[in-house]
Amino acid sequence: MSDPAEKIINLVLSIQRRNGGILTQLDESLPLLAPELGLDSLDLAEVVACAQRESGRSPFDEAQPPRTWAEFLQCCKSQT
Amino acid sequence: MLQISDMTQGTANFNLSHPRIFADLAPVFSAVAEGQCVALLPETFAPSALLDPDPVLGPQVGVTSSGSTGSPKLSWRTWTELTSNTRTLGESVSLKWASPYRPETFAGCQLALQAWVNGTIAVSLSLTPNEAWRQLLSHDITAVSCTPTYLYLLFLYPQAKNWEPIQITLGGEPLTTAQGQLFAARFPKTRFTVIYASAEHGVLLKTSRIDGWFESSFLTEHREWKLVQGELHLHTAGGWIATKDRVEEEGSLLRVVGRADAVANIAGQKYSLALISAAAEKCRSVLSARAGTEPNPITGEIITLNLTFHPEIRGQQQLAALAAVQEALRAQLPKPAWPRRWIVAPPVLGQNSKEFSPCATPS
Repeated sequence: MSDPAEKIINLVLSIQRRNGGILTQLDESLPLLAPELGLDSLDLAEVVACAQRESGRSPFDEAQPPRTWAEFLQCCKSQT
Repeated sequence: MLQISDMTQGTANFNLSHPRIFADLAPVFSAVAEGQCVALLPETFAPSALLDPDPVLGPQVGVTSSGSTGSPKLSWRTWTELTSNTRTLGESVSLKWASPYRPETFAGCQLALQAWVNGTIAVSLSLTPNEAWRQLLSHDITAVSCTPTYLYLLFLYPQAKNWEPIQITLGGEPLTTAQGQLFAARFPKTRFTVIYASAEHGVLLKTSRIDGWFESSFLTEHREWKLVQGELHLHTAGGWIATKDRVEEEGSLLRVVGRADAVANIAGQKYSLALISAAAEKCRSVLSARAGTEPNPITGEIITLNLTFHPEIRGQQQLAALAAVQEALRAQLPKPAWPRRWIVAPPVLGQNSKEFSPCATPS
């Protein structure tokens, strides 16, 4: 069974492909809504919902909300 | 005369009853038939104030609905209206009824009255399917009144194989075309009646069609009505009122789609959950769909969608069916209205609902 971070990465890549992208790997240094990813706030909401289910909390409940995907995934790991 | 010990003294104008099962309504009906007014309330409901019945309208029964706020609400229905909805001729008189509806609701009260006027029985069905089947079979029930969801749940159990009721009455929630086709195929000899009613307004639509549509002529014969932005409005003594039900019209037919006030607020824009459910139910693989919401820190809310596929769609076929539904909804709906969480109900007994992880979704 894949871990939460892997599920989230797979979801991000799935959404960007749905939006017409061709990425096969996620550059975790990218900001959450980096133009290269082609995600908008609605797509991000979907990823956050997934993260909430996987970790039980939203990454945006943290005192310092994540700005990059690395920080986002770190938030999810620390909450599980 | 109704024994006071059977009821609580309400006001000078009516008495209270807290029925637990349909059988508890027999003394209520006897009392109302003799001219009294009786309010039916859930056992746990302690009213602080109840609306008095209009004495000009004669004997009445007060029925309870949950109301849009979730708090019980009392609506008075006249004895004349309630008895006019019963059938006392033909095969109807010997039907033995069962239903999971609560006895204090309009649907439950109406069903119990149908049995009472004809001297038959009305059994309060358990919400646990195995117990419900024991009741249906031990009482030799020939007629059931329930929601499509409840009938589908019974249908999944092996006891349904050899059961051939004479009458099934459906109501309480919209019937999808797919559900109707399934039920008609499983019960080819059964007479179906589908009803759209409420505690506040009584029976508004009634049909023997089982495709989710009603003949609008039924409503026209009894009410002045109109659709305002897809919502059904009725003309009453107090003027036009909004029913909060979303209704589609096609020629001489009407279809209740869901609640007009069930909306999602996605980043400040409102979207009808009923329309989203209806869009999913147009997909061939979908038996029923219910859109809902959950909070989200980015957009305020996201839309969730609970799906029930046709029973023959199982295992990996569900993944493909889900992908097709997702693609269809993304093509039809604006992006904010796309469901972001998908939950598939089990097609067969014994399986738990599956939440479909995005990783499992074919891209």
